Amino acid sequence: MTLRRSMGLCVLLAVMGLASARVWIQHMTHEAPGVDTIRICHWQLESGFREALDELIHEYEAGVLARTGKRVQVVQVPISERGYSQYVNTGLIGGMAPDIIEQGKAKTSEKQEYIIRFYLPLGRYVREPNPYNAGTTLESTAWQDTFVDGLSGSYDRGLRDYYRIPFSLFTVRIFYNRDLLERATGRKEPPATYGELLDVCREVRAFAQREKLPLVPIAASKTQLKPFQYGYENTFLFPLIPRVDADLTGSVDPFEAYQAYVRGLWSFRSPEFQSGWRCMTEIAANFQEGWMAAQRDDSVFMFAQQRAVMLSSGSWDAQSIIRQAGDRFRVGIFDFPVPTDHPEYSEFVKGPATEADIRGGIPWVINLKTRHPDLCIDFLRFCTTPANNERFNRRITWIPVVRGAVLPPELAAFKPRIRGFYGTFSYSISSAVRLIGDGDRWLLYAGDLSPEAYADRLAEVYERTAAQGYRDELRRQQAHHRNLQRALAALQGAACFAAADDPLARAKRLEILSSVQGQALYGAAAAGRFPGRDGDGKRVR
Amino acid sequence: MRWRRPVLVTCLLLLLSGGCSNPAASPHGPADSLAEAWQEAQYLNFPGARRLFERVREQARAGSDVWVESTLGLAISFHHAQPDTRGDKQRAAELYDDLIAGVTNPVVLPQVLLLRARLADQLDYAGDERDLTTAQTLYRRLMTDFPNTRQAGEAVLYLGHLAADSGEPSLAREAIRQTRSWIHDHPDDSLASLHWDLIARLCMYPLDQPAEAVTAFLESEKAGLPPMTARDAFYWRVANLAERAGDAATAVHYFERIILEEPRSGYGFESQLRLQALGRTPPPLADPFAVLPEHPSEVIP
Repeated sequence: MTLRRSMGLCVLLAVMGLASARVWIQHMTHEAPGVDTIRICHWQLESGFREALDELIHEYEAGVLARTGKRVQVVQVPISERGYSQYVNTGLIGGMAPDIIEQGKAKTSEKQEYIIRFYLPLGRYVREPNPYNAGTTLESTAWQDTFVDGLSGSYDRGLRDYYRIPFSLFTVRIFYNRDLLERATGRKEPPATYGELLDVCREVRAFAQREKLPLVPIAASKTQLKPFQYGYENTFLFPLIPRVDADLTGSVDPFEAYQAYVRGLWSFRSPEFQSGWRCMTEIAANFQEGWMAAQRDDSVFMFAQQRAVMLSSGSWDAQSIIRQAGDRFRVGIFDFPVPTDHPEYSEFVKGPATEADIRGGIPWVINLKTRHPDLCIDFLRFCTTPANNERFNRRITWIPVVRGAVLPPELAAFKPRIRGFYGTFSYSISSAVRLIGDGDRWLLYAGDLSPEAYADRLAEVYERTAAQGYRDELRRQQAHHRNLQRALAALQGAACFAAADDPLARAKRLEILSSVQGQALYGAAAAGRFPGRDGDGKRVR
Repeated sequence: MRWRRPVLVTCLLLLLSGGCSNPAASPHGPADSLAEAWQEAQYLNFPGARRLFERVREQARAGSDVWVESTLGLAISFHHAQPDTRGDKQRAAELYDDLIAGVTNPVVLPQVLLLRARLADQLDYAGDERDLTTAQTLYRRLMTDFPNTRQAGEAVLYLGHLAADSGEPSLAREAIRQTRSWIHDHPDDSLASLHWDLIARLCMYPLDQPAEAVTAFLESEKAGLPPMTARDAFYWRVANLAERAGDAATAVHYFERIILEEPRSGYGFESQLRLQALGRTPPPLADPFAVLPEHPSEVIP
């Protein structure tokens, strides 16, 4: 009886002891006395990423200790993609988020009203040289100019001063099984033109039939459709852009698209749209049966199992695809051959989309509440020297983003293309257009709906919902304009009582005022160009 | 024994109150509190800023510098706090009006006038209406009574935004005339580039006058574009407008500048094509990724 009684108590004490020990270990890991600790969170669970980051972390910690005698600790916090948004949002609101955060997925890291509240503006830091480049040719170069993209795509367009520090670049290409291609088609080179791509697909299908093999030309899934859409469908719309682009940005936004639609400058029956959809349907006919229900991993698995000759994916997948191929087959990579050689399509397609303005991926931001902002900056600077960025990316077979860092040779085909067209043609002005357009598109690609029938269904939804969608989008733009004014007012109010006029603060106010003006005039033109009037005869607002 | 329970409860309450205490609420001087409040406002935490400004204002002598600062901070907090409500906006208007009536500080007063004008100019909550008469009167008062302040130059911009918003060509022309006159009288205004940008954009919409827009954009550039302007987008717009206006020389110049000065631009390749269409031999594209090895056709050995 006594034993039984004391057993319960023992278990309780043991559990309490274990829990306390765990808390203590956690505490010592994250807030060890005498050690400055920063935490860095991300959702990159791909193989090799954590190890590559760990290597940099260990080297950084040792370097700081050797240089300054000070102990610092960088703790990596990998979070699954599924829970990342909640983790970052609740962490930031509760004041417990990590010091360095991979930007994306979470509302708090993307919307301007939260960016101001939760992140450190990095403008001041990126304009200074990276001290870790001392003694190199980049010694006196501003940190931002040490990146191949100059961080030109890595800051908030409205707030300006809020930069993100990228670690890699990503592009999308077509992987192919070199051995299988040669066996099935007798070709040693990947297709260089659109015509050749279709020929290869035809030859692969014939080979599979002849040999009775479960082999398809291209493994695909819903996820992998996007690169094809971007590579093919969108390239047909480039000639439409100059006709519709009212504010001369090189892109067409949903406002401009609707204005031009009402004026009859384009329709879903326009040959650019029709040909684009026909082209995409031609390509989708070479995917495996049931590709629409497949997950991304299914298609990668299919390619690894040599049941498909080609697979479209990004440079982020290169390492795992090459590893899965192992010694069994040789992997090649080639760019999407656009139909500039096609008798019908070449009338519209003059080239691929440009990647010259590509922005860096794996973008890091710093938590405003961090107790160690300088340490965070220092760590990011350490990671983005040419040597360290090259080492990090080589370890995971990604494209480096820092000037002077060498691209892993197996990724040379992923090097961004600079000869290409700029811009997008965005007509998705209402949720209905987005939902029904996307839903019916599966029927189009499956061949159950002709491009003409798809166009008519889309036109019906567009005409029914675009005017309301236009008004809703205007309201969103006005809210954005209003939020910029909130930021400006706070800065200007504080400046009235500042002891000295700080030139950096002055520049920041000017930048935000410039954004306010840009947004005001953009909104005014969009409202003023609304094709038609509201029911009560007033201008649309 | 009978004291045991009250003692335990008291200890528990003390413990809880300790846990709930806010270490940041340690005594502050008004200067610290104001600095903290402005910081919160800049993080767009207007409710938090409001509490701090209110606390300082309650303890300040009416009309003192601290009172003026906390009142302006409080007004801005009511003005910009979300969700936007009628009550908050009315309270902000009252506070701004108190300041306008009582403040003579030449740094603060123009800012208060500008913010009061913005409040009248903005649409914030359901059923809100713009009070354009008040807004325009205050913008003009700034231009006449405080012509050498930054706020006056900003008021010129907002008058231009109102003209653009009206969509009326006559009002746009009047705004352009007024802005030109302002630039003429204030050649050293720090917002000169934005004034020219306003003129150029009004020439694009609602006036649709590409040649005039080009001239104004060139002046804007001459005055010094704001630090983080996307220059390639600026050059692209100027080149296209110039082409529309039949000014081939300017179009060529700006297409070339995209290629030569902005190697990371997405407009580079198309600029080459446009130069060819204009009968020019385009400069070659510089490869911003030249640090990476060349693009072989096949890569895995």
